[in-house]
Amino acid sequence: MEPLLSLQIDDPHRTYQPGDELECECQVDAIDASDIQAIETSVLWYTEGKGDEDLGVHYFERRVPNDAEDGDLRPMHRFATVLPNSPLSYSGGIVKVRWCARVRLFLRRGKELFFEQPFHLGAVAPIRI
Amino acid sequence: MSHRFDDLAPMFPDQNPFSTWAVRPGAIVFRFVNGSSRESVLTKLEENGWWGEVVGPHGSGKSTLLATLAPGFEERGRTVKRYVVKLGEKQLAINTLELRKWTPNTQVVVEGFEKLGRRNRKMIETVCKRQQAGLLVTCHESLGFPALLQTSISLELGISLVRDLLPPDCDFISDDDVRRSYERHRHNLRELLFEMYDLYEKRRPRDG
Amino acid sequence: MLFLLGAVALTTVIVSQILNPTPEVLRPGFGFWLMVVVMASFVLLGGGGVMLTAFQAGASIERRSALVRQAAGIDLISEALPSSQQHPNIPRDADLTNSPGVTLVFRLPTAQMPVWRLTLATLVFLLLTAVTSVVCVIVVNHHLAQTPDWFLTLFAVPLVIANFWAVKYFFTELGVHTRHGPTCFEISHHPLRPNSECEIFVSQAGRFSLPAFTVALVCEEEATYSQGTDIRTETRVVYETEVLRQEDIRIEAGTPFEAHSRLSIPGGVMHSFQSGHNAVRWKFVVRGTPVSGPSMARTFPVLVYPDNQNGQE
Repeated sequence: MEPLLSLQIDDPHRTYQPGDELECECQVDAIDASDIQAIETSVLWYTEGKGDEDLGVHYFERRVPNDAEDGDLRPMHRFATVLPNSPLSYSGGIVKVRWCARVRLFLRRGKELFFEQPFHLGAVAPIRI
Repeated sequence: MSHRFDDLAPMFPDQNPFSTWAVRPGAIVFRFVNGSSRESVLTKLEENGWWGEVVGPHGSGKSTLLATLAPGFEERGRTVKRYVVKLGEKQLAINTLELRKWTPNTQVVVEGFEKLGRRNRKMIETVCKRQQAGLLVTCHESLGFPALLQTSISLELGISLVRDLLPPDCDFISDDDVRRSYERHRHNLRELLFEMYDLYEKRRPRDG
Repeated sequence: MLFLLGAVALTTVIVSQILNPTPEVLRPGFGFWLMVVVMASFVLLGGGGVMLTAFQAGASIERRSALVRQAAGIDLISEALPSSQQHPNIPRDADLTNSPGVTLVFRLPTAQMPVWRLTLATLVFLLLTAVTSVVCVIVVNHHLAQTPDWFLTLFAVPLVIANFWAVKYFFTELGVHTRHGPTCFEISHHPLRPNSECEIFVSQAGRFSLPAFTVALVCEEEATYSQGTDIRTETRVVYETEVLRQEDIRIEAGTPFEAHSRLSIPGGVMHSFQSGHNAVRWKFVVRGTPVSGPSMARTFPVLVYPDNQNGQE
């Protein structure tokens, strides 16, 4: 059975302005604690469109079993970050900028799982070609 | 900043199915024709002592084929050393220390081999022979290596690729659009997909 | 290699000094300290490279990117980066605001026009003119001496036509670069922000007439695709608004044409953005189409920052 990976963003509308605090909760289930090697949580932007994709990480945290009580990384973990001034979310013609929160689970024997939640930063109007 | 985006999944409503993450070599799986398959191509290469060439015009899927073959090399215990020769490059950016690391298990893969200078090509061939490494190259015209596959594009292939990339309920890009684009960019699948990006962007329904 | 060389040499230098101290070499300016500084820099540069290679192998893309961002937090590195930490991925404006204006606050530098076409035209023009002249002199001499060389005469005809074309092309290119005098562009604010106003001043020197002289504020996206053996860069204009238009103007030598204008940057537009393969660029474009001869287009890049309501400034 596949482990369950959940990630929740506090604002149901998922729209933020620069300087706002983004709060997230992540949790892992349906897996043995000893099978987890590390969990990475991050808040990042990436580009999409006609060019090669670029990526920038705004917030990053890596936790290994030694960082948790009883060495168990499964219980709910909260993290928060103040969002930056730029780059803002953008839906352009050939360049798009996306923001998301992401959790990545590293299992023993090199297996890896990830889950992400998109959100919108700023109020840039989409481009209509 | 350059990253591989093997794990980015579509999430946004204004996502374009012809974005680079969806159409770059590796994201699209090579469509084998005439009964060939990834395994048969790899077996043929192995029988040729891991030497071969993939010949085909610009944008006909050579890079996509290499990306499709890549996991197969690992399964057969070969370590791939991949080099891409960009336009204007006459020499492979590679140092002698790296060359010495090539072993009989190394599969050297050079994309755009014909762009290299004659001496540089000869040098790579000599090193591969000396160290018994495999050499797989892509080129527009045959360079005399054992022929592995000839890539080409057909209208049917273009239509089938576009259909697969489009969301299931999309009705604003038709086979006729692909046909017209195919005529304009004859034999160049990459240009066809770039044009489909623009067409999708122009016709997609807007939010609100 | 650099790291190993630096580490071994630095250790050797220091250990030899500890085991066999010679106080006079420790004096400032002596080779010992120079050696230490050079070797230490080798260790730092090489070590950085080793760490980067190590991190790139077997780490998630987020982790690698976070490490790069952490490194950018170091003052020396962050100063050298193209964007500031307060406005990530927006180019710095140092090059755009280091020249004060005469009428308004800043004088914007122009984007360089590529001169390779003029260079090529000059070379072709010179070479072809030399060859054509020699051939023509020989042909004329033969004809004057009543011993016409018809093969050479026939050969001279296409050469003269090609030379005529080369002369025309050369002078057209030369005109593009020299005919229109310098354009001076000044601005009251920089960087620009959505929902704000700014004043511009433009001055055009030269000696020509223009049916229309315009200034436009343009935003364009740029995306570079480099998969396989392909590298292609595509740009697309996504916003353009005319901020100044003057019709039927005549510019005389020594009396440049000058004009002021006010413009509003609309709300909801994307800020300037720069990443590895993608960009959003803003610029003013000054255009003029003369009655005859090549048209003029000069570009003045500007930066647009986000409209921050509650961001950290």
